[in-house]
Amino acid sequence: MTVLGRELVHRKRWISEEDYELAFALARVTPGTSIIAFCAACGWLILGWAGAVAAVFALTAPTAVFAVLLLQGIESGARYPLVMGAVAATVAAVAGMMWAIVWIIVRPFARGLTPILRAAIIAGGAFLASWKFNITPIAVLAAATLASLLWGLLPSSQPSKSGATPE
Amino acid sequence: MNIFLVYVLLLKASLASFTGLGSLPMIRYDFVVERHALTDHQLNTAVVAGRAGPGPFGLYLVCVGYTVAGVPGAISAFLALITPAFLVLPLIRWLGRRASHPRVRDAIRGLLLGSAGLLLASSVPLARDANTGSLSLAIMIGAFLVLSFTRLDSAWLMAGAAALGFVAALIR
Repeated sequence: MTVLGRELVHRKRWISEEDYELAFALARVTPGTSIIAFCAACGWLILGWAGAVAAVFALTAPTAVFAVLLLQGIESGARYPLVMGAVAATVAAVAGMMWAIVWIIVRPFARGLTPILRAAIIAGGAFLASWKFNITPIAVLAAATLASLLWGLLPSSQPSKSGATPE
Repeated sequence: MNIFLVYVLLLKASLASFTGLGSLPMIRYDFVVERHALTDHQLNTAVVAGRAGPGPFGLYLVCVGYTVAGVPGAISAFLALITPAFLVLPLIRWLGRRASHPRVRDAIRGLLLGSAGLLLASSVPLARDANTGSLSLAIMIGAFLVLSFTRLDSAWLMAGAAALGFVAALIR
């Protein structure tokens, strides 16, 4: 998104810095993949609906075709030990990548004792609810959202006068 | 599998996530645990294919759709992947800068932390499936450290892991 911002704001001058910031912020709060929402927002700001559709398709359609071709390649190479060796190692890297994503999600919320406690209770609770008690993801996410909203209402979680927040 | 159902299930997972792989727990629950339409290994392979090439993280949804229902499934998964992105347009029109309201931020924070916990829970069976020896364990830990503490693009990591696995299979 940063690279795209540099291109659209400074090189092409198709959108203003303020529009870029708005698109960036709203893409982060839009469900799904942020970069796709960001492209939709920028495309819309530049050229309306046509721009949004064009931007989303340009980002996703070619790479989706490539991903399916890659999947076909992996499936057809299942008979060959060398291919399967490469796939097994990549699967292991994906597992490590998932742990890294968990860490990257939690890290910004884990600055200061109270935010760490909040992150540990909500993320840890979600983990236990799913792994140990097999509670459905929707119910877990609803409970996590509610817990975070309630936590935000606690006086101790309000930002100090200096305006410092965990993020 | 019915492609409309594929679209609905993947859209639900996409709508409930705020990161590319954030939808993985729900997809695993719906397709692996509930409907047995996929195995953990197939899901892992779909994630690998979606991540090994260029493009956004969520692309593995298209591979999931392709695995469960062929090309029509891939197309319906593609639509499920891009549909939530268009929600940003009404947000720009009506929410604007109110997105930074503390209550909205608290709700997003809760969703993100909840999805982190769910992702960790989903990684347990996938890691168990992926862990076939000391090399795979080393790759898992290495991948975690590299992606957590460096700015290396994950596609390079996938390529490196694939090369390592290829060489290890050649030596064996």
